[in-house]
Amino acid sequence: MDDEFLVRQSLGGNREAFRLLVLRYQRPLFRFLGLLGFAQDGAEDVAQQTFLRVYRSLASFDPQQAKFSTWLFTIAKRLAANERQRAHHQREQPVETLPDSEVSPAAPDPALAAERTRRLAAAIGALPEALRSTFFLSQVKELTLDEVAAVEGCALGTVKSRIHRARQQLRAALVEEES
Amino acid sequence: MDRCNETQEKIAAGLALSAGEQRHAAECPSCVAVAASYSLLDATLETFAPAVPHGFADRVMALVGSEAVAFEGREPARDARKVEGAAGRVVRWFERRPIQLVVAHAAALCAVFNVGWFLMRVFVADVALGGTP
Repeated sequence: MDDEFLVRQSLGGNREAFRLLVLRYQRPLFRFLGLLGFAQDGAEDVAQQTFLRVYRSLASFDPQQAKFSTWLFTIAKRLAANERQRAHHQREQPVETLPDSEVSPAAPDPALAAERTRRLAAAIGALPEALRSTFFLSQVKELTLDEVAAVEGCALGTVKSRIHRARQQLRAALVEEES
Repeated sequence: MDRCNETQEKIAAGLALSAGEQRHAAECPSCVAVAASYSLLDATLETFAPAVPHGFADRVMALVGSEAVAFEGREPARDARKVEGAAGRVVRWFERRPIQLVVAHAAALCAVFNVGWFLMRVFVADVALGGTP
């Protein structure tokens, strides 16, 4: 069942169809929000707002203009930006809020993994907003680079270049301090 | 060296490597190091995703349920949009909440006035006979 079919069903009053859309996109949405710096509670709030906004606006969704995933992440990005602007002094930092058990489970040394996560969070915080947003959208597996470009409102080449620069900067932050 | 540059550029950009580039990346010590550092970056980024809380979809659907009246209330408006021309515009105009409130209040006033007028005609003889009280 593709997204457009589920949207049509939801518009027809089938709430189970909308539930399927929520189940389909909840994980990538939490991933995107987590990368943006939202911890568990903040991510849940914004994700909930996003799905509600999507539901309220379903009638205005036009599949000719954008894919459902592009539309959903455009809304999520806007709501996340509003939320961060609203509470920028209390902005949650992933490192401080990640439970110990969730820090790099694959790493042999939990202390080293936590240190890497801390450094990466600092490097992410230092990324320019445009690089950060584009890069994080590219990390959402459900979006192609063309769709990321649509959400960001820029050219495909710009998206590729931003991803490249963001990955270089983040990798440098991880590798340099370790070496 | 060109092969290294091309391969490392692709690894850095997160693009898929061709079979030849994959073989090279597995054998060249420089590319192996670059690939390892980017793998570390990707693995560390994975830890930033908060887990989806248990029952999240149920909570969203509960909220959606409370929104349902508003959403379903919009359906006639969507249908009305399909009505072409002036009739459609009038229908949409009357679907506005303030307009509906004004019309309802005006109707209530008219009803009160009519009841009052009727009672006056019944009980005040001069009015009933067409004279001035």
